[in-house]
Amino acid sequence: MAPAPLSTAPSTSKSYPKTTPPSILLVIIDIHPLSWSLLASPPPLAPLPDHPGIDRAQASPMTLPDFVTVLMVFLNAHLASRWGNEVVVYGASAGRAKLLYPPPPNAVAGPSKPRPNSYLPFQLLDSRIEEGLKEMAAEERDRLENGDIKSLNQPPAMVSALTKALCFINRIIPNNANSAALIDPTSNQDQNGPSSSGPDKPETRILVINATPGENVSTAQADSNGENGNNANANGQNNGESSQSGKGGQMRGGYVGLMNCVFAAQKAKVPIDVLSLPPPNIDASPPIFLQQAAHLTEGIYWQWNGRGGLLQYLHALYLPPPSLRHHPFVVPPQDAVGFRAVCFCHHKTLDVGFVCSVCLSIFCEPRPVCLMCKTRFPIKSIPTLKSLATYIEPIPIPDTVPPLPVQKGSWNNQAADHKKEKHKNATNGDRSEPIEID
Amino acid sequence: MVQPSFSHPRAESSSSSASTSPTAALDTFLDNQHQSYFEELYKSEAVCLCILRSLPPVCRHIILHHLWSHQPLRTTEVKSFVQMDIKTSLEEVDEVMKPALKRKILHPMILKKGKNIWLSNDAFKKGLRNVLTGLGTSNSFGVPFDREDDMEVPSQEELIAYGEEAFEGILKYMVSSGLGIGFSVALPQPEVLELLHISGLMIDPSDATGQRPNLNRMTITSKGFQFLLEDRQTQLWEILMYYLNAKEANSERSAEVLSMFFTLGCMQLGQDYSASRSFPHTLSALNDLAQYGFIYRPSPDADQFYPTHLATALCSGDAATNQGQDADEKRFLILETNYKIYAYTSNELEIAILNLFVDIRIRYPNLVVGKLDRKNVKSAMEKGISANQIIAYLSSHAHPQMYNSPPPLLHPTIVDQLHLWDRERNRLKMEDTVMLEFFSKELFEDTVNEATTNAALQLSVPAQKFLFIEPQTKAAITDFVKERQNQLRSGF
Amino acid sequence: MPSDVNYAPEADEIDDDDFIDDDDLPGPSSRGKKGWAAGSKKGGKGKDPGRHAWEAEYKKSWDIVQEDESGSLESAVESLLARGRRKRALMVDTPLRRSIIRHMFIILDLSESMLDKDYRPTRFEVILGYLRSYVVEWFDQNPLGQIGIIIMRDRLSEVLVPMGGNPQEILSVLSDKRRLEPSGEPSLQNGLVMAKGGMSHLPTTSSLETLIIFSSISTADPDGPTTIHNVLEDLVENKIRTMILSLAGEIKICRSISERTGGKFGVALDQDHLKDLMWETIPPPATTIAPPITVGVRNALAAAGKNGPGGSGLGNKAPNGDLMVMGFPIQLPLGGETLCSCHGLLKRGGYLCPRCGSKLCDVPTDCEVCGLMVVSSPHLARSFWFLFPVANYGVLHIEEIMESSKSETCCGCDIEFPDISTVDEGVAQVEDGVSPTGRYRCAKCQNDFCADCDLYIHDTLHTCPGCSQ
Repeated sequence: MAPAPLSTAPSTSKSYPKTTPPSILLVIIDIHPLSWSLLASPPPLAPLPDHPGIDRAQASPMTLPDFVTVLMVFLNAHLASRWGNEVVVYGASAGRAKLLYPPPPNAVAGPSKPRPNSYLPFQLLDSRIEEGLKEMAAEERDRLENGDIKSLNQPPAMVSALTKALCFINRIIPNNANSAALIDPTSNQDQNGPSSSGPDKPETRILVINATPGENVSTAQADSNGENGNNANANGQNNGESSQSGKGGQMRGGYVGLMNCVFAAQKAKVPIDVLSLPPPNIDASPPIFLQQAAHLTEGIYWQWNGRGGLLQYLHALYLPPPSLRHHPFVVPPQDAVGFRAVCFCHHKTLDVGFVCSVCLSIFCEPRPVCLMCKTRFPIKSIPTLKSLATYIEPIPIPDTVPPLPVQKGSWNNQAADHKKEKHKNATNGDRSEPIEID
Repeated sequence: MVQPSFSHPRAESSSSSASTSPTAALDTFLDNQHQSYFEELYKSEAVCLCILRSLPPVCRHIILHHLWSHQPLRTTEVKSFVQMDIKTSLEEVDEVMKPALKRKILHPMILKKGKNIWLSNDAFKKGLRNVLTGLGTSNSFGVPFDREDDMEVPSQEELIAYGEEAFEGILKYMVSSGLGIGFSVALPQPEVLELLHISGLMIDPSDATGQRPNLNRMTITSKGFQFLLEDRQTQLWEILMYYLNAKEANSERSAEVLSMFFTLGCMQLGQDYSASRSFPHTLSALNDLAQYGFIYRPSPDADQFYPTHLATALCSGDAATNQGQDADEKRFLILETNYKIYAYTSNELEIAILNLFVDIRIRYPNLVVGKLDRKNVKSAMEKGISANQIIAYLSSHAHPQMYNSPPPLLHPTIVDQLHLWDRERNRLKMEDTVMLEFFSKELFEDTVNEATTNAALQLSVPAQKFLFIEPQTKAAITDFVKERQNQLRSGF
Repeated sequence: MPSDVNYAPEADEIDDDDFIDDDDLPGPSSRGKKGWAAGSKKGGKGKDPGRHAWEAEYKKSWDIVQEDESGSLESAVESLLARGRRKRALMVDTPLRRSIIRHMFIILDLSESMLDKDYRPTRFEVILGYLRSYVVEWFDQNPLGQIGIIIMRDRLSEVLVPMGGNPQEILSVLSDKRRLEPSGEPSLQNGLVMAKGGMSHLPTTSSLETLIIFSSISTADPDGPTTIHNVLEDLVENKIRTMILSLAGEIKICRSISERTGGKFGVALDQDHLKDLMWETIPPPATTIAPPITVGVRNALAAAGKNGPGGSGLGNKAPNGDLMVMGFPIQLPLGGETLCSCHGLLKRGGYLCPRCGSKLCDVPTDCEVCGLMVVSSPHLARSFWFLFPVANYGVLHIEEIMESSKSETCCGCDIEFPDISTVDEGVAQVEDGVSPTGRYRCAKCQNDFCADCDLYIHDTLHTCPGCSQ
């Protein structure tokens, strides 16, 4: 491949890699209809008098077809940049996630006729993605026509798509540590050793394209702890300014699920890149949990500024494979990351929370019994905690940090059990039904 | 005893393997071409795609990064991409982008105030953009053939088998001519033989001038043996480049033929294409390629053709992802530190190649067991195969199992021993010389001094008063001797 | 689980079994409570008291795996996998007690004595193998804890891994055997001094611990004014709990160090006992399980001793616990340098306390200004999978698929399932929870998964792709 300028090269350029392993890019694209309707008609941009260069660029509405065109070019560029590169695309719509590309093996092959002016793999990819998106859109329409309007209010199933992507990675690059551990405790030392499947182990990365504004990963965990009698339902919600524009600011699947995905990705050394499309004029707060995911897996997080140029941004930021990102290239400087968490009781995003010392569950308010592990907390401590809680004020935010969503008002439909407990650190909007204690 | 100087045999071998990328032949060819040649090449989108992929990764990503920009690429930008200091000299930045400069993708330009920029080659930029968007118009990915539905379509396996048979036939012919072991090999087409002769892979030993060879009685040369040990993709590109050079020698334009190679490389196995519409200008070259098994035609004069895996794998960057030749199929060698070789193969050609340097002891239907020994390795080396080539062959065919042991793929013992055997061969160095024999000690010593000052001395043997000098200095030295002789005589 | 059997030398199948068990089972080991400090005298109370570790026959790992009639290992592998599945099915769903913040240095003796072959293949290999699973287990149970590793060899000590909360980093260092070649003699004093130095920046009120794995029977300490007894006084003063685990025999100085500092001392009888002893140090020491009102770690710990241990285990009675106020900080990008509130130094990066906005160097810690306990929420989240386990997937029989085949592909990795018609109905008996059809169904979302995804989802991912839709 590389014409090797060995003898003449100065010492610096010798350290550049001659080849990179083949790279598999898993793209998760958020195609939630409500989010895209927001993006297609964004409110006007705030002027940036300090940066006349940027200010001159007009705000550009972005529709799904436009974006998909851009995305296809980007994916083609990924395929073009090395033989053996592969692309996997998942679509995440309201409450469901689906593999769009590669097509399922039993599906009818798409357009078999190659076009004389496009490279066949590109053509297959593009047509299949288009087809898949149309299929998903049709399913959405069916759901609507069947009167299932509620489902549209569900946030995009990012977590489901992420778990699928991780399962996919696990299949193509099985982590042999697990199976080795099954057989002999002393033999599983070579996790990073040379015992890979062959000389060229592909590297993988996940690119999440988020279109949904708000601090969105904060909804109900798909709760399986049935014996605790928790019937958390999926309508938990928590978003900033966009709550009036139809509950766009949510992501289905939950904080815990997302975090589990992050740790699994960490283990597999898969970076999760995040491109957040809603520009600041739609979405004042970044999707902090996706941002955390990118941060924890050493991925790249970037928020579009709403002024076009997506094609260039995609190529410049997300194209280099992980093996080249830190050397010789550089990762763009990342923003401050808020390590906020979500409470288990009301699915609120918290700066300060109450944590059970036994099971480390997080709650947004003092309570006598831990919901998860049934630990009884000393009654006498509750007033103290309450008083502590009232002192919690949001911190003044430095310049580097994007501002928090405006927090105003207190919540309204408080559940019966906890009516008396009121806090200052309330968020706005309607809330889910709290977990019931048996 | 001279200490062997390959103190880092691994470094040596790795660097040698790095320099022999599969497309080395293509690279040297392209390196010698001019701007206009590239302009013509870049008219085809397939070429742009393949050239892009042949660049080293860092350079490639900078090009892609820059692809959608309207501005020329500034050197300071490149410096910041690759975290170089802003004051780094231009040469070092140049080094990063050198492959692109060589392929004329970027043209250096110096603006006022010492600012350096690189202008993109418009043809290339446009071509690459068209690749990604699919908006080209040059039909460079091949025009599919409009076939009727009831036509029989060869399966991918059949195409692979066809290509394999055709190309291995040529290789087998070459091996059998050198070893005298007979497979029943069909004689390749005369055009193929001619190319083998022109390229110097085979010669007719009875034809001293090399002008009028008898094509049916050729034997393999050392270059040919080396060729056999290369991996498949290197062989393909070498053959294609010999072909291209032969075309150039006939003063034909080769750019279109070369771009056809790339187009073939981007085609899909199992798909049929229309020859006349895909390659309107290079039909004859396409016909020539059919003889090497690159394409398959259902009937000799049909417009319809199928590229075989030889063609479609041409541009797949590394040998491991060759679609046609299954990667596992190619990795069949297990080499032990006791020099034993186990080759899990039943491919006659591979066995014949192994037979060049391995003492084959046992043959089973799917396994050959042999031993690397001095005798066989040296006989291979006498045929012109070097230790590095054997090492490269062994490592590129190493069984996946061999990757499970700690890093050096081939054990250093074996690598060192191969190098030692190689050295052994070079223990005697042949040089032409002229020997002078003296009877007078004085004259001998004077001549030695004279020869040393003129760097003509090769060896002097004072006991017998023998002197060995460089042949080309013979006249000067004899003149000196005569003169000195006269002086000495007159002195007495 | 019978505790005694476990360190009987011929507990052949069981030791393999137990290993899986401990990998899957998050809870503190319920076995072998007797090991610590029970000491060396009561050795050999297993089934066969006459045999010592060195008399036992070497168990070949390949003997455990049995070939089936056709000479294939497939069934053996499958039954191993199935055993893992069964274990998981037995796993209790009750949430387990987790501790708050622990800092631990593991001091590893890498003297020549580690190459002794009384453990097979060597002490060194065995310890490394155990340490790797130990670290994983430890972090699962102490999500907010931090571990550092110090090695002692050639009379020197060296910080192999500085104090940190990333198990992956520690694991990758531990798998690099070439860096860990044992040699020379250990110096206990140097090791302890280094551990103390490494923890000096931490508040003495947080739980500071060292775990020494000592293989030698002597220590070669530096000649000088300070002796190991001075170091011991320092340790006591700084409240560094020292646990010592000897592979060789009981050593007076080791015993007194651990007793003075409130730790434990143990002598491993054999490989399984060694493991039991190590695993016993995973659950947090009773004193850190903090009782009442917690404004911060310090108060919690200060109040600790008075209330006594909160019941060290898994009784049916709910353990004492408490609610703690925790803040989740904002991590600053590596921009310019700013002053931190904890050391008053100019540093890049750092964390902002969510309540008072002061900058802290590292988390978890207490905010210097407002006293809030500041932790990184991902650290907490690392243990959440215990709280929301994925329901076990059921085995699917052929008939069930015939009736209700929703999808032909795995819901996780989208691979195509094997064709049902090829499955021989005669073989379709379910053995050990292995599905004859290669499909496993989630009881909740009714999606089908392949065997690979089933393992991956339950062992690593802990989130069901179907249920999260």
